[in-house]
Amino acid sequence: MSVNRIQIKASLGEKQITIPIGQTFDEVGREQLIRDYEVVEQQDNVNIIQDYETTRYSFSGGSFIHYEFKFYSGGTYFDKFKPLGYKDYELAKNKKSFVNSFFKFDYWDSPLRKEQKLMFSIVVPANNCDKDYPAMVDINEDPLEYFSQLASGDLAPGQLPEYDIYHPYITVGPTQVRNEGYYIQWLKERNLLEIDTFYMSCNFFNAGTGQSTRMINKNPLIPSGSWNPTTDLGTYDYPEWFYYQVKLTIREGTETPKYYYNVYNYSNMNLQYGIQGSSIGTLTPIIFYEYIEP
Amino acid sequence: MSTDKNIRALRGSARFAGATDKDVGLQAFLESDKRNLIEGDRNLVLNLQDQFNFERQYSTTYRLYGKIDMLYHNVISGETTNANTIANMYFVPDFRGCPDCLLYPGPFCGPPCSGLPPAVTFDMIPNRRYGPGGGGGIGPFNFATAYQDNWVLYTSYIYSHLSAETMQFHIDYTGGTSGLDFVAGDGIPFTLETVVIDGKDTLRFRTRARHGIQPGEYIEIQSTPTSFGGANLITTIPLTYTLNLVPTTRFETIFKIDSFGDGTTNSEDYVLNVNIKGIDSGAIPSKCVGTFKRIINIDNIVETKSQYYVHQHKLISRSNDYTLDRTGFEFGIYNRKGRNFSDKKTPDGIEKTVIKEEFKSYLYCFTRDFDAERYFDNWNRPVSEFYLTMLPSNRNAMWDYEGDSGLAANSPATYGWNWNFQPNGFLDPFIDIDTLPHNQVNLFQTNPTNGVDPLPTSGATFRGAFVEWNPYEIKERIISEIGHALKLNPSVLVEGVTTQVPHEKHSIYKYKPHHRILIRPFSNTINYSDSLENSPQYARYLISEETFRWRNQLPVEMYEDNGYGVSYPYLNDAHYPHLSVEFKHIPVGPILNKIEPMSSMTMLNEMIDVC
Repeated sequence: MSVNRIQIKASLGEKQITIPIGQTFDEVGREQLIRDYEVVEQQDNVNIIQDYETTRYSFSGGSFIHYEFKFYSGGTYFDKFKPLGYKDYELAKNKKSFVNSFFKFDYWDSPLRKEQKLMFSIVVPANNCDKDYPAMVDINEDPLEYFSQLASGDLAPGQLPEYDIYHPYITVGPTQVRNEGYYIQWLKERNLLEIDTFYMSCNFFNAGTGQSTRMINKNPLIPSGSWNPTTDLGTYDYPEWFYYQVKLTIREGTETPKYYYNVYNYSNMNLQYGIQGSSIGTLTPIIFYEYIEP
Repeated sequence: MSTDKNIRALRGSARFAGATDKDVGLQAFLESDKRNLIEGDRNLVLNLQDQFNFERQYSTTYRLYGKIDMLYHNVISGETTNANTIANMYFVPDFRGCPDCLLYPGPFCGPPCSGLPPAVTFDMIPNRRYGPGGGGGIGPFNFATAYQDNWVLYTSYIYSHLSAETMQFHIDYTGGTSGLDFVAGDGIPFTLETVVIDGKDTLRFRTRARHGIQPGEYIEIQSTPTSFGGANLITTIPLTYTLNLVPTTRFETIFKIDSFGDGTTNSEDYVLNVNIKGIDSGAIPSKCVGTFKRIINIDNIVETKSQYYVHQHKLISRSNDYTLDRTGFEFGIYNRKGRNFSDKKTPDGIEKTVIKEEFKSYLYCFTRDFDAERYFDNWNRPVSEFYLTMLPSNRNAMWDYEGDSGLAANSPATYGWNWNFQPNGFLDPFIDIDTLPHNQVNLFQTNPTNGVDPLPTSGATFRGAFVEWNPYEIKERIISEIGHALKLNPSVLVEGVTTQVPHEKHSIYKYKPHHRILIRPFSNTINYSDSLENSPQYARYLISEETFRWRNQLPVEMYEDNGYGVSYPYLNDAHYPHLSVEFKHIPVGPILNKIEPMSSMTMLNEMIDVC
């Protein structure tokens, strides 16, 4: 207060003092900015759009992929269904005990049992097997077929009745007739799950007995006499015995197919050293052997 | 501070001795409307439907899929001595077959045998090699790649257009062809004649594609095309006036359209009538041809005259970017037709069953995502449509092809537009691969071995529809879709010389290569703005109105009149437009003179009535 004297004249009106305090606020657009900010925050928080679209992966090894299954009986593996208790007429006449059976291929993300998760499964009906294995008609199993053939006159002199039965060999391909189990349906984009290598195991589900049979990836009896399942002790090591390796690939060029998979042999050695096994399924079938309790 | 007395204000030290000065504070009250933020006011309600719509409109990713129904009539027959063809073909007449001449001599014995190619020729996924063999470049059969043996599917969009595309318009096919050579930019080709309607001399313009002229509009005859053969090019119409008692001849090029049609069904789309006075006798000779352009407003010709061009498609997918499968349970609307030929009806004595026609359906799905933001059309607008482009791969060499290498590496397809595919019993020379071996359908592509081996890939370009663009309407109109033609390979079937099928070989099958998939159509309404700032980049400036004008793209599920709009599923942050295609093989050529009255070709005639 540097003045000495201030006189304020009395008047009947109200006095106002104008104090020039700078308060120029720009409110224009602020509400819109807040709204935009809210939308941005909302979109960042409420939703992350994930692409779950799948596409089909074809087998790269050629037109067809081949599977072969061997079942154990009396110290030997057979490429027949008979060791599972099927009779020939069931296999020849599409009985429910057989056609309702199926192979189930499980695809795991790891061969190590403690850390593996099941990623997906593929079911292949048993009647996808080849039906071109000749078998003699057993008069006790199927007398109707036996005498029908005899009565037809189509048999050569001395020839006994026979028919074709299913045997455990599957050939599937991208044809219009039998392609069930040929394609693998998996994610098209890898952002969601980066995994591209799976470990395939197999079970056979028997509609005749209601039992399932585990399958292993090699013959435990070879080399001959190295291992006797009926007397030797021990357990099957999972990475060594139960899996084939399946690897999905996406081609960047113009080759066909763009999405494809390969199947490789797999063992502890491949696991330990990171070596990829030999490719199979084209010329050499993917063979599964019945698992025998040690 | 309300008082009626004077108030003296003194400093503290001036009041009395020893008093001290002190500051006097004056509290100023500032009015304020601020209020506390109440919890909840700024919360947003997350509505699932709103969120879905928000994401849907924001997404520009498209995944295309759909169904293809094969529709054809296997009628183009011929004669052959090729053993592979004989082993696969359907013999005609089927009740006689083609018996061995040594064992069963007669008028129908063989070889040579006459007949039709098997139905597998028209399959999308053939199950074997059935071609003549020795065609080269086709490779062994493989189940895994069989889905590309006959046709290959691509996605394309219109990236540009070409006014200089050369075309031919034939008006006469006998005694030497005659017609018009022109380019797309010259406009729509026509033939001209004079008629008398209600006692008035009338110019009658006939087109073989929809003219698109509306009542009250004008046409302008062009001077740039050239005629050939016996055709007479019309560039002007001489009209005689009498001015100041002096006869004067003026050569007019612009005419107002007075009426449409000639009294026959749908002719209003193809026939224009101009009432005329003072036309000289003989001014319009026979075989008059020319081209015209459409003008909306005679007072503003520059900005209302249409431009004409051909679309240019660019592939944006590669040959392996799709999957194709048979539908599980769909077998088309017509029955499968075939016949068993016993060993006595085949020249090699081997019984066979041949399917002649089978109408299968296929499902296609592109495995490549297309981001619409990356593509702009020929007018620099955001892309509004993609195309399913189907090209013949001819791995069985069933279709004729030309090329220096002699291999089936070249595309067998020739191209043309509506006037080249007229169902008049003749084969237009422009689409006849024997007359004009311009089978390089994609001439824009630098690789001259187009079409088959190697297959076209992303970036290859192809011709498309013949289109009118009017700068005032800022809108395209499809005048004629492009058509491709396939002609049977002479190694498969030739014109019969000894049997009962003498001329069918000269015919072709027409198909439509580009199928439109609408993704974001442009509005029927034109938007205006005086400033560029308020206009999209693709807005066009109209000098006469001094405004920027454009058409908005309609959002998904936004419909205008008559249901004009699009709707398709949205999932996985992508749109899934679906297109079902009736993929027709339409026979064109002399075969149309061979139709028996009771044959089902009557149906096909209707299909190609306004081809």
